[in-house]
Amino acid sequence: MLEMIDITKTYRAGAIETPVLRGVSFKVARGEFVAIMGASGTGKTTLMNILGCLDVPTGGKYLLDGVDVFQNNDDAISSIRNEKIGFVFQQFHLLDRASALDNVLLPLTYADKYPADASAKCVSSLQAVGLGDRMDYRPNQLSGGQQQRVAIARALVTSPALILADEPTGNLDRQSGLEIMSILQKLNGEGRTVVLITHDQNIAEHAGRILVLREGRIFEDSKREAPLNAEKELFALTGGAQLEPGGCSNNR
Amino acid sequence: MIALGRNKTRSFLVMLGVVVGISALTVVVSMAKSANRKVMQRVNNFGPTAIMLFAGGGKNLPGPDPTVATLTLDDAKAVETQVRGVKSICPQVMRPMVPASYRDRSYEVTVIGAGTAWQDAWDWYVSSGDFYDEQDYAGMARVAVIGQTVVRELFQGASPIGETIRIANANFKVKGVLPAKGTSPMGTDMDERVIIPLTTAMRRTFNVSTFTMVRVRVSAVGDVQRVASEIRALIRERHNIRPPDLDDFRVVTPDIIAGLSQMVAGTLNRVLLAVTILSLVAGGIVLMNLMLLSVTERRHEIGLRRALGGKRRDVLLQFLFESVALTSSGGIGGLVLGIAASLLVGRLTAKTTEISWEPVALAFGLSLLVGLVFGLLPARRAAGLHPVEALR
Repeated sequence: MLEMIDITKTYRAGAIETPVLRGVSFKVARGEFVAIMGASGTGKTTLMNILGCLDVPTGGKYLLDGVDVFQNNDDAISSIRNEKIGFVFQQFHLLDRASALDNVLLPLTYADKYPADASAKCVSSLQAVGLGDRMDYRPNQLSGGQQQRVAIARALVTSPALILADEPTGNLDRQSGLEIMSILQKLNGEGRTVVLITHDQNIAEHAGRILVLREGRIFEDSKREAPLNAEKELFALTGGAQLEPGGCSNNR
Repeated sequence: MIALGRNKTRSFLVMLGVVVGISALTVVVSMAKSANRKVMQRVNNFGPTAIMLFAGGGKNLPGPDPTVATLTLDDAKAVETQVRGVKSICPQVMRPMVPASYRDRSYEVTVIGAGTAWQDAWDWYVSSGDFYDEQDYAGMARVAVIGQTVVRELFQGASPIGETIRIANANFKVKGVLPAKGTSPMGTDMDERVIIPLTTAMRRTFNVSTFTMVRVRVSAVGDVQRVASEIRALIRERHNIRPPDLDDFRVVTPDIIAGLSQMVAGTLNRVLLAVTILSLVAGGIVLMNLMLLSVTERRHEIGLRRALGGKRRDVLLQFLFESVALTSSGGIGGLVLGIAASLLVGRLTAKTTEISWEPVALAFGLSLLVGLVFGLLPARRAAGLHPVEALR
């Protein structure tokens, strides 16, 4: 589904060259939940930018859903981002003045063909993350966890091949973070491919496979037979007071 | 659009320049239009086929100066017989504030001694009685044609035809009455006049051998310039004026009248036009700066939009649209303010200002243009941001 072949990235500042990725190769199959781990300075962010088609590698090849991404021009790569990738950022990146619904609608407005059932898609996306009753709320009326769920709904709305989550729990307390992880696990259970970038071992342990990046290379690639279950952790944390995953918790 | 509401003060500042510019422009256009109409009116008052020949040279426009009188009857005769295209010619001499009386009533009138073609020359025909004829003219008869103010002041509405009035201590028989003409553009009463034969005026009343002006009518508008220059050449020759000596007379044509009026209106309009352009440019620069600031502030939003699949063009258009929305709102505000100001100016100066579609179209066009031109650089900068840099 996704394949990186010998991806390199070197930053240049004047005459000084800083190699950040020194040949990264791996495959992700459809329906996998992969965590990419690494301390800061290991090229994690750079890799994530290339995976998200936000940045162009210096060398190598990136196949996403059968498309050789970097054979395309900027406009076409924008379309690839729109159609194939759903981003979830650490800082949520919601538009302050727009309602949850309008935020979720945003990717569809950039689609090559605006779908006729756009608002229905947004509604069902928001329902999938348990915010069916908060669609008219603005980000500043929502808790951090709820804002991140809006962002997940936004990532889902285009039915992308890949959900790319960059430290999605980094700005959240433990409970909200677990809620987000349980939603990602639920989506993965429904067959979606999820790639999670994190420096946090605890968070990474929720994935079925962990790639560890060190000094610009894949250092370790290991499968987890029994990843952590965020829903169960949540249950344990709240003593069962928690609603089902994605339910409303007002932890503001 | 979402972003525009966020910084109300800033948006207001951007619009302000455009508001000032567009309102100034609206005033300019409406004033220019009314000024233009006034020019046309003046030309029509003067007569589009008329040429005036004044005694006395110099630059100052005229009102015949009664103290300068270098034109002779022979000059008039020469113009009439030697210049082709002259339809009629009326020499005249004019004296303001001449005492006139009828029985026990008296009034100061303007006495005009004129040729027999006076009615035709001025398109002003007696409404009752007759104009004096060739015989009166040749015989230096003491006859007069009087204006409505004179009728009112001396006769108090009674019919003056056939009555005798005293003008400058001589008796004149009233032959005809002119219809009212009202106030001249210079603000003088046109109806307080008494017309007497030029011969009578020169020889018997004022005792002069020269007169102050000649009014010439040409057959066709297209002939005016040619006839005017031929008259000038002819009079120079007759008065024996050679270069570098200046004319001791002055030929005035309708386009000089038009030019004079336009000059006055034009200066004012140029000032306002400069205000317009300056404030639009100032507004544009403010817009550009604030949009650049906005691009910096909204880097994350731009990065997000790019990450979600927005193309460079989408971002460019979004920012351009915001600029244009700002300036267009300013344009609408300016238009409203400008129309209000035009109406106010019209009321205060008792001058007519015209409201028409041109300033509306111009306001929209210009504010759109300002938004596009000055919004382009910030929009390009926004579109050029690298998504990774923008999201960081």
